[in-house]
Amino acid sequence: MSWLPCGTYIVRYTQDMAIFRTRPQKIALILFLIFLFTLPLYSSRYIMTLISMIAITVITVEGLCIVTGHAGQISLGQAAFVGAGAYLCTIFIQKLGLSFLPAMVCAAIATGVIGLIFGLSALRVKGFYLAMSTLAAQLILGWIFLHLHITGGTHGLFVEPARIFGFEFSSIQSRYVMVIGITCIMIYFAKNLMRSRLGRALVAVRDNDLAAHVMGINVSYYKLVAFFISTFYAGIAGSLWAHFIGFINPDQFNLYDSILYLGMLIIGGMGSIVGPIFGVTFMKVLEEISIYITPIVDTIFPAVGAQAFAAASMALYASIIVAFLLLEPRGVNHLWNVLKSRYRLYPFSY
Amino acid sequence: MERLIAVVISGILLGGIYSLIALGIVVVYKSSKIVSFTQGAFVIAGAIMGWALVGVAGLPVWLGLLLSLAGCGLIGLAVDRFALRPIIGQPIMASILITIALSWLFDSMAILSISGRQRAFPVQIAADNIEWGLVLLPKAQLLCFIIAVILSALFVLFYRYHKVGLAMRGTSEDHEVIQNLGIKVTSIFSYSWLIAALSGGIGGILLASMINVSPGLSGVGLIALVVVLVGGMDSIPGALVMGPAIGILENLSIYLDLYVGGGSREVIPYVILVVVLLIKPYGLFGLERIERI
Repeated sequence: MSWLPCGTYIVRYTQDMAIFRTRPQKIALILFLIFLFTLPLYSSRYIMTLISMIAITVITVEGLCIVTGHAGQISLGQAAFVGAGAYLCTIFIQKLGLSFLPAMVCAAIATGVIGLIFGLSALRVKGFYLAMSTLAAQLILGWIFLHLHITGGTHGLFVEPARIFGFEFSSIQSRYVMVIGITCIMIYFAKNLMRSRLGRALVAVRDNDLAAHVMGINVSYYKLVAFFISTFYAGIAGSLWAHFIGFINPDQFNLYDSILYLGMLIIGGMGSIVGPIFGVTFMKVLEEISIYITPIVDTIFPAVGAQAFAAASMALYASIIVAFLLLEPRGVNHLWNVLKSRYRLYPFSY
Repeated sequence: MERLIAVVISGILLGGIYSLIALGIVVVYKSSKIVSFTQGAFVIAGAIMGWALVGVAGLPVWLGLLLSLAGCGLIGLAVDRFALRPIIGQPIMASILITIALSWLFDSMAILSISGRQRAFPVQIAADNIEWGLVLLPKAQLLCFIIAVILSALFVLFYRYHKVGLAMRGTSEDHEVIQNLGIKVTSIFSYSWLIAALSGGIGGILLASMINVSPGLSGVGLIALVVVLVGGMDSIPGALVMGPAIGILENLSIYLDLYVGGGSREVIPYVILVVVLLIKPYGLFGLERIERI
């Protein structure tokens, strides 16, 4: 939470719960959205691909934020659920002949059900058990992607461009707008979810589950709902992923990515809606920058070859995650809030 | 039939090493309630230091292995002091993620130091096989199993009778009470990480002497975690029993491969984990937590 500008008085609960509590916030958001949607007019393919991948990952991490940041349960299998969503959506379209939007929703619900199968045991008991059973889910689902006929094994699947009401999303511009549009809807949904009874119940479960139980919140039920929504988000992200890139294979959804998603959540800051956006943008931009260190790594470790870059970037991400956990566990979001308070109250300290 | 017996026995022998590695996770969890994903890193650290000191630097075997174990111990102490001590009292999420990030760090260093390739471990215990009826077993496996069992037994005795072991058991009961009895909880954490690093390092050296040094060696850490969860996070007998059990089931999966087309060995431990979590969430031998309001 950051301080509001001087002279802003909140006297009703609805004002306190409002998405926009000041007019500049509203204007800034509208300008930002206009900027995002008009970007195809004046930017390159590279930028649009980068922002679309950031948006898809934001959906994934936003889902993770609901179960980890708000409900306090750790999921180590988010990438596998993204993969499940991607494969299911593609299979629904190719084998069952559904059109894109229904296939995406069905795939997301099916992913949620798969998530429930793994979460059912773990969410009855307290602690880190969800982490373990989602770890198992990650490895089991990864194995399934690799060994079933319908998923194409190591060759993966080629995905036809999405079609909504006869319009084919094949050019990069149209795919970009589709991804950004759906991302905005999902973020809006997450924001509203957190302002509802469900969101408050999840936060209560995270902060003190015994107290939440005493207040009449069914702890296991809410944990399961949170996990279902989280995997639902993963399913949506997976469908978009498949239709944005046009190709899926098991290598895109491994344990490494799952942990990276958690890292993004930590870096961005848990328990808020903008946190994941900061975290994902930070990591993705870092990923793009780290491509430039490849020649340096190659000259230091000439014998290692292609694995050197993977190993070096892994070490880089690991050290950044450790640094954030030790030095700023509240993430970039907290730094942003501090900055906001500073400039809003500028000449004074409070 | 002979093949089945050989498969089962070899599973038990492999599982002995799993148990030894899993002990480290249990000890850390009991004293500090931290789920250690770093155990695989100790495994590969032990193996690589053994390879580097004996194979590359050419030290005598006993000195090289002793030094590599000392190195492992130091890494364990450093992990405790510099990564986990600052986050005492933070949510479980922080400790899980920090141990995972550390294991990434060690993994990537391991890949860079052995150039991402398989390296032959310089110490081969015995190359010949033991024939027992119609069952053929590598002697090295048997010897490694015996070493693992002896070390596990030593550890159990230490935990039960030695003063530090007793203090560790006390710490697993209640941190505040043990602090009031004049025992420094943080130094108990250090001891636990030292033991975890040593058990991982020894396990790594034993495994490497059978199957060479490779970057994939740290994956054993995850299997050890499964062993611990199936046995019960806070149960030493659980780890000792479930190690061989998981080893046997892993080996038996070659029969399952006939139906699903290969590779089921990699997922069998995790399928078992999901089933056990569904039936007995606290593990087969674990203590069930009872909450009072």
